[in-house]
Amino acid sequence: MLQELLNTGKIWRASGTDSQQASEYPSGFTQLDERLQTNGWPTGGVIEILHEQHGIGELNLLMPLIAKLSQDEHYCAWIAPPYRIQALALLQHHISLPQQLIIEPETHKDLLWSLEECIRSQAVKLILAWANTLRGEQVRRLQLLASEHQVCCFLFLAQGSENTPCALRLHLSPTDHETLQIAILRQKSGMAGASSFPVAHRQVSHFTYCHEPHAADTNE
Amino acid sequence: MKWLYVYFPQLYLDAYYHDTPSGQALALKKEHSHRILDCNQTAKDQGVSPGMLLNTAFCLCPLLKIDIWQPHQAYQAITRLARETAQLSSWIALDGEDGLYIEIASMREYFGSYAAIRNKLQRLFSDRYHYQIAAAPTPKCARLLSRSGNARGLSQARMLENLRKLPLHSLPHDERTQNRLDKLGLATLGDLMQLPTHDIAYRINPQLAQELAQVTGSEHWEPHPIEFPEDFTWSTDLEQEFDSLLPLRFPITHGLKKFCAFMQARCCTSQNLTLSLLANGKRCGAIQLSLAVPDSRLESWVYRLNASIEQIQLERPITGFHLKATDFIPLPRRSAELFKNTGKDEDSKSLLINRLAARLGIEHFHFINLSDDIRPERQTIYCSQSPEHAPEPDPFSLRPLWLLRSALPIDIAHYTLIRGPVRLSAGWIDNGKINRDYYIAKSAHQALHWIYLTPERRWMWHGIFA
Repeated sequence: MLQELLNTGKIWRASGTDSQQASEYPSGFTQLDERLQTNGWPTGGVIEILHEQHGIGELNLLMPLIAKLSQDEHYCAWIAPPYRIQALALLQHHISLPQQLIIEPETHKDLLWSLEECIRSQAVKLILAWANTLRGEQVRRLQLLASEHQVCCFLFLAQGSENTPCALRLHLSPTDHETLQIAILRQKSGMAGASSFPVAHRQVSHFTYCHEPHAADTNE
Repeated sequence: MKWLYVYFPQLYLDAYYHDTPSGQALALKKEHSHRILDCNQTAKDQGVSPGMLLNTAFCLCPLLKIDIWQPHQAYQAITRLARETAQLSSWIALDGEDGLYIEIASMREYFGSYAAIRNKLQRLFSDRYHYQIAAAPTPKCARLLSRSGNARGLSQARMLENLRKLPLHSLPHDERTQNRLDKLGLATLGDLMQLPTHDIAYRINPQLAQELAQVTGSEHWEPHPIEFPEDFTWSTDLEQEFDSLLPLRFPITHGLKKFCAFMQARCCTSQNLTLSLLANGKRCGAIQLSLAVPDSRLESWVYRLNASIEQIQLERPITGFHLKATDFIPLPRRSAELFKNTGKDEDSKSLLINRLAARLGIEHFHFINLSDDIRPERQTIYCSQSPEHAPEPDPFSLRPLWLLRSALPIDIAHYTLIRGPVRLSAGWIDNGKINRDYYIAKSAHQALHWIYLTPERRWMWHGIFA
């Protein structure tokens, strides 16, 4: 019974906390950093990001972190990305391409194996993985491994995924196309479940989108 | 006679297009070149010749098939021949991608006569290759005679006579030197050989004088012998027949240990190993064990073995196996600093890549790079190795992170246009023409999409600003 509760993440053991740990990975968004216990992304562990659809800016939140870690020699692993990645988009965020490793497993079993392999490898510091669902015990295993090997493992999950013993669990919903409403659903040794807060993650008006030599008729 | 020279006038065609149907006209060209480099006999029969412009060649032979000449394949072909020739002499040297110097004086006693060595060479090449052999006292003299094509079975006196008749352009020299030779009325090697060497050096060209001295033997010159890398081979006989490889996991792993120790002792790595299966001493099958990146560590090879061994069904029981690897590359140089870049990161990276390749297959993971093509579908290149240099972004070419595998039609009424248009028009040269006006648009659910308008006024959804 107790084990079941632990596995499902309904109980958090105080012995598992590490109050000395300070984040080396600021998110780049002050509103978010202020509410995170480690003043930034956890340096090791599973971070679940729940969102309803793609394109709301879910990866904009991570671009500063990916750019920072891509200056290192370690790989950033993109596991089962939902669409094709555009290299130019990464370059525009100052992300170095040689460190980007894209893995496209065919089965869910291979996806889990790839996740574990990347965490254990010591060649990867950051993992971005897209999975429809993961069971609590699977996330628990990944959380222990990622924590041990100091790997930041972001899991993008569909809304409504079961509660798991991850280090951080965020829910994202768009306020408009430039602002995200973020709710911290779970946070290791920190406040969670509080009301959500807005984070402005992009300003489309600042996009450098020049070269408009042949303006077409847009009055459709 | 101390040296043999073997010239292969169409080695690339012989090596890689030997099985081309006899009626197929085939020509080779270098990458980015518009001229024919070489062509087969069928193409020659239709008027195509080396040096001809591609357009002219197509006019003469509309069904001409053009392939790209690859320098590394040319090098592999001549190296393979050098390796085969090594059974006749210990001193083999490469001359470009189409010639071999073979020292024969030291091997005469072993084979009995020069003619015996020559016959053995002819047997080696006659099935597959076009070749011209010449023997001479100096390597450069043998080279000149072989490439001139009329040196078969000549006596020494006849050989010198032929050498004298060779035109001067057989010796390498520049246009300025040729002008001086023309002014002096010198046309053949015989004309030049009548002049004192110091006069040739002073009045014409010192390099030409040196070249001639090396041909005649008055100045010593020997080609640098090719050094073949060692091969790894290891065999074992089994005490009984096995109809599955699974019980042989440990003996094969023992062989892999020897293989890794072989590489580590020589500071080299390898990517390919052949596991040959033997039944009563005869080869009855082979398994190619290949890694995604070269590695000399046992764990990478054992993992690769375990990933493939379970899928192999033996057609017949085996009584032994044999491991062989021939291609090795030197270990990459590492920093000599004590606390910096000890190579551990690179080791863990190659280990991860090899494990991913063994389990998922090499087609299921990749790196990305940027191409020069502005078409979104072709702008990102997927590559199996991490790109060495990171390209610079173009600040005026904003792209979304996600690109749909194929654009989907949308109802523009559900979108609000925010920025744009940017017109992308390209691909008219390769039948992949696009002419699109791209916009950044907000969907009804506040997602930012990349959409475009076609010349037919259809709206398509192509990307997502994630």
